Amino acid sequence: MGTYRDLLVNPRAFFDGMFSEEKPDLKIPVAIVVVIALVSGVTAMTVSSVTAQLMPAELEGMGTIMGAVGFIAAFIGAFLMWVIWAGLFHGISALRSGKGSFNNTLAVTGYGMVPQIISGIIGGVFSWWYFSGVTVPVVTDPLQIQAVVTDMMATPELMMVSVIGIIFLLWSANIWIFGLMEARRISVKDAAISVLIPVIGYIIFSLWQYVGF
Amino acid sequence: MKGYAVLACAALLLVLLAGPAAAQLTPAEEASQLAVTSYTVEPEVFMYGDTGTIKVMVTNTGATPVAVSRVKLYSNDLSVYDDGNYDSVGTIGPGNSLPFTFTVVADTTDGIYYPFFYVDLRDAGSLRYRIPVTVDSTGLTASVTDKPDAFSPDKKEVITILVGNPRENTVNAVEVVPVKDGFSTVQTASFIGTLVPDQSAEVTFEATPMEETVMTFAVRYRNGINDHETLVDVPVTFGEDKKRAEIVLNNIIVESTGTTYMVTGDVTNAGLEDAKSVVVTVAMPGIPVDPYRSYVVGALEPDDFAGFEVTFDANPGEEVPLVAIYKDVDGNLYEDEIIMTTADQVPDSRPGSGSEMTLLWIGLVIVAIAVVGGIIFYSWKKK
Repeated sequence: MGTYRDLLVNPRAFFDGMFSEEKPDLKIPVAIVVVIALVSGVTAMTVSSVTAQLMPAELEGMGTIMGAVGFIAAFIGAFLMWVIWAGLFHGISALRSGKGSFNNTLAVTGYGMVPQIISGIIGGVFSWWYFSGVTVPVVTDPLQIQAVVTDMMATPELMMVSVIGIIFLLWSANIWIFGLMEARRISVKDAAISVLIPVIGYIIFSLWQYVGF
Repeated sequence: MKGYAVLACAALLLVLLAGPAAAQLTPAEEASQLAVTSYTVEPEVFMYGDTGTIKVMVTNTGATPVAVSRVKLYSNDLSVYDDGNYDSVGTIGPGNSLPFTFTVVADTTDGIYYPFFYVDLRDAGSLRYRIPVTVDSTGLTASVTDKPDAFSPDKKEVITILVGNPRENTVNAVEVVPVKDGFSTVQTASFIGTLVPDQSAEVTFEATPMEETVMTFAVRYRNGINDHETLVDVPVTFGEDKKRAEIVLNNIIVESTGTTYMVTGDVTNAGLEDAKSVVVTVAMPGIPVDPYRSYVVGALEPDDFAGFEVTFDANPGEEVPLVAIYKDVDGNLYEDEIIMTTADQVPDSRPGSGSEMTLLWIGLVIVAIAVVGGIIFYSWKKK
């Protein structure tokens, strides 16, 4: 097993021999996901607070509640994403004769999410900077709030944030490939297939959302 | 008894002798029995060209009938038409009166004339009488007592006309009629009726000019049987109506709603008349969009104000007219507008919307691609 620097730049060395024991240690992966959850939560709270400014004056008190709901949803969402990614990798690799336990896949997926801490911080900082300076229009018709929020999100700047997120997701995918190869004892090719199918699907979905705007 | 018979015969003789003596009046005595007891001139005062009548009543004040050969009215100034009606009159019995009516045309200048009434008696002698007839061509006066300081196209205004009678006689059937040319009126005519000397009457018209013109009102009346007309002109020159509603837009705030804009502000009526159906919207190059393409404020009394909000689309930096459309009480449409500029409002109020920030972001993405690509390449190369 390599160093944490190897996790980022040489994942093959990092995961080498990690899954020789029966049960992998999930404390570090969980810690990584917690950090991601916190960063996502703060970002979501910032966006929710801005969205709350669109509310009519009589619903002004909803801002705090919306921020809290946004934080909790993003926090839980990070854990869900961890499990979902792991589930997809485990399922597809099972079709490619994968043999390791789901805990192994969970550990690999958790470790592989480290680059997303960096993209999460970049996105969070930018979101705070962007939304704190944005001029929030006066919306008197609640039915218009969704349209205004959609409009605010469909900006080149926020698209750039998504692009950076995709780049860092590819970095994670690279880590996942090497990790899954060890955790599921499959070839590089099978590991790449197991990882890239859901990752590319996710990327297409993300891009489609913006094209859809 | 014999004495009574003698007395009766003497009385009868006296009666028989007295009768022929009475019928044998001299011409001067016969003429003195006739008298002009009254005359009527209609109209009382003629105007130039008027046709009227002079009616003379002749009465036999004597005890014997007077034979009249013919009756005439002579005038060197007035034209008299009798059509020979009185060329052979007949006898006027004692105590009887006979009217004689002549048609007269006042085809002469103003003044007082004395036509000569002449009664020719059959047994020589005559009766002469001069009848004063006044000709005064002074017509009714008409003046405008109230009108707006300035007219506006298609805007209804009230015009008041005062009609006075400076004549010495009463005129009747007085009415004021607009002579329409370039304007319309609600009232087709206004009837006054009879105007006695030195009396006046006011009439009002609600007139709407379509173009710059001269509104003419005709005061029509009758002097006797004669129609006359006096005209009064009201020049129409379009100008700024000092009393009209005047819409002022202020407290204007333009905000972004993403790709569109929302402008909010106050609309105030700074005029002296009500502004009806006030609507605020934007004009080209701005394009009104939902939810508030136009904001209907409704009626605004003088010094009253109301808030509004309008949503529109425009390119950043464009000057967009904000237009207030309203009507007056007659439904005439007016527009007042101010120019908004979206230049400093929202190319975007978001941070980092400039071209420098775009380059920064592109650079950041390129760096991210380079770093992550390098790491991935390195990890695959490293054994």
